[in-house]
Amino acid sequence: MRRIAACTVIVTYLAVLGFGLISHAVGFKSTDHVGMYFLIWDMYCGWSGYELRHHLVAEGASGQYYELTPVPWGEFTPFGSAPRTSYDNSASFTDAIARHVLEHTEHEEITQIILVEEAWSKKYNLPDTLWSRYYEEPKEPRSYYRTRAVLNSHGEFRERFLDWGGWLAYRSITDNPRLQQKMAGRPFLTTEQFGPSSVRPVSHTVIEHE
Amino acid sequence: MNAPAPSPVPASWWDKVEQFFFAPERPVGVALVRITIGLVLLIPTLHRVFRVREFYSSDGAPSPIWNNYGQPGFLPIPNAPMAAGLYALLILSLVTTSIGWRTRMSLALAAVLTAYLGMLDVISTITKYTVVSTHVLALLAMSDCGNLWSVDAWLARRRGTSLRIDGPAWPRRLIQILIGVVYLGATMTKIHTPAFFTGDQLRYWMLTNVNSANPTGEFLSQFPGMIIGMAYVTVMWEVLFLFVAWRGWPRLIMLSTGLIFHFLTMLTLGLFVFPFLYFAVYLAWLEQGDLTWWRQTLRKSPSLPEPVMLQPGVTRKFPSGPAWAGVVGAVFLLGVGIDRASDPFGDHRAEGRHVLQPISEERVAQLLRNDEDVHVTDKVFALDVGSVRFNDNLVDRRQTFAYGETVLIQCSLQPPHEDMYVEVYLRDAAGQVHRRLWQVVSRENLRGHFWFLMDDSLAPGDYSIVMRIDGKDAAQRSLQLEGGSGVAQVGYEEAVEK
Repeated sequence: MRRIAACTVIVTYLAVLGFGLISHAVGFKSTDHVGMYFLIWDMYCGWSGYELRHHLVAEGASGQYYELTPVPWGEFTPFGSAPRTSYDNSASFTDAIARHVLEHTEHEEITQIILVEEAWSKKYNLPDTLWSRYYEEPKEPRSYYRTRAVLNSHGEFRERFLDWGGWLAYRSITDNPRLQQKMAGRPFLTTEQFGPSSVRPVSHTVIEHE
Repeated sequence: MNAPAPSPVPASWWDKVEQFFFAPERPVGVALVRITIGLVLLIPTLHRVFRVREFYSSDGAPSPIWNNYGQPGFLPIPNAPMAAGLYALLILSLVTTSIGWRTRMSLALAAVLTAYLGMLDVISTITKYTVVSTHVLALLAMSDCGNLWSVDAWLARRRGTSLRIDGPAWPRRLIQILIGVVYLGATMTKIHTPAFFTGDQLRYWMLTNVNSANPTGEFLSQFPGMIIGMAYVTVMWEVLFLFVAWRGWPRLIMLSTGLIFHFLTMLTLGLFVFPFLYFAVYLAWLEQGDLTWWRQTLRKSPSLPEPVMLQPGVTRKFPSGPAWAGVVGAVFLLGVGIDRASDPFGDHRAEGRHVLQPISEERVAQLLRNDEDVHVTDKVFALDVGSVRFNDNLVDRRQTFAYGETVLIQCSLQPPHEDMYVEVYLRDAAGQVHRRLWQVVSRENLRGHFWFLMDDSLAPGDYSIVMRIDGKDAAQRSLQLEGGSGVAQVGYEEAVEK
């Protein structure tokens, strides 16, 4: 009986591992179920030329802006120097984080919440000693800021925008008079179901950790 | 006269498979994995111990992974006391796993809680090392790993009994196969990522700060040739691992390469838990023979001592099961109690709740300015000058050239970028332009390459290469032309063609 049970476990486990491998190799049902995360071995599947950080701010009824991150009780850095909120690459949990901070702080009436993405070239992460050996130009780090999402006072999404890499890729493609002419005046429909997009020919911002 | 010996009957394929999975063996490897994996997993677990309510409970800001898969509500999110109790149990189960007390239950509990609590926080807890850990813990729970070097074995000896130490090998085999499959899956990922083979992906990962400090990676990011070489070696090793890492020299080579590889991921990528986890799991390759060899080498006794059984009745029987259940209950309640007594968000501070901090107008203007364009210098990742190209990368950066040499200029562009009109000039110290080339670098290319022949039309001395994008200076590199003229016999146009 123990032997039969062991054989069943072995065969089942190998079949499951094999399915995950094939699913990942050919892109078959690899994201259909949360369980696939436990069978797909896609460490470091993405990369970006820019270092990204998220800043969450709230606008009060008076017009004053307040910072929601770093969270008032101390920010958590799970893997390196970046705070936890910056690992939410798709800004999926901005609403939960914002609501949580507002629930546990004193503040005036909030009218809207804004998620801002800061981006800088990763070349500026080089320490000064290496920079001076490699570059003749002085090191003058430059950050870019773009709004990723706008939420109402209840922490519900009102608008969402492309991330920095997506924006640059989008611009690189749509900076085309023929395309602009074709696009002009067309109704715009959007969906939350983002699929692989051709507007990112050379860069992705999906970040996997370890 | 001796009769000829009968020729050995070759073992059938099925016999070999059966031997592979069901050969009895001492659980040396799995016991060592059990001891070490619990300790390794305590590192990230204790790192998050003061954030339980925030990350894993409905009273905080959890980020359940099932939302990302479009399955909201797939599993319940616990309230704060429940989350704290479960987290306390996770810590307990990792400790009892490591010391081997009620090992099978401890491993099962650790596997379930590692997966469940990890899934509650996709932002900052669950990673692929969480997944590998879950698999290994579950497989260990089906093994006899708790029958050796454990509290369970010690208690059994006190009772005058012994635990089975010649069980089948299959749980250890499945752990080994899992590791091989993970490497094979990682190879699939690399095949899907063309930038891996040009070194670009690794180079940018070596420069990121989202992992722990990695100064070696930052240094090595300046040597693309080495990165490309390492990338190809990695892929070959990952593909071969599952098929050859079983016995003899191939096993030694595969495991040694793996140890070096994972150690290098610490230095170059800033990974920490993942390499330690793999060091622990590699112990599954240790067999009784290996241990005997080590003990002989270290001049210890040649083999493991047989379990010494005490006589029944010598000592009082310890009620291990009820005691373990009692500790589990107590630790759960302890976690709940600690959560109730804590005030992680400062709601009950003497000075009152935290107050949102206002932001200065200058900072607000900066945050909300919605940048649209990249400064021209940030469109360039690097401008390199040399002469050798390897897998689309310039690999011999240098500044000094002789007459007759061709200067290779590489413009590495920061992705994503638009189609670019890139010019490269050769200027002398007085600013006079001696060479000029241009090309359009399309959006899918990360590099543009140019060649200048240093022929006798140039005087020896200092020069600079200037890169311009859309008519604006973007980067500059110096070089020196040394020696006498008249060496070059190659025409300029011909050199450019080369």
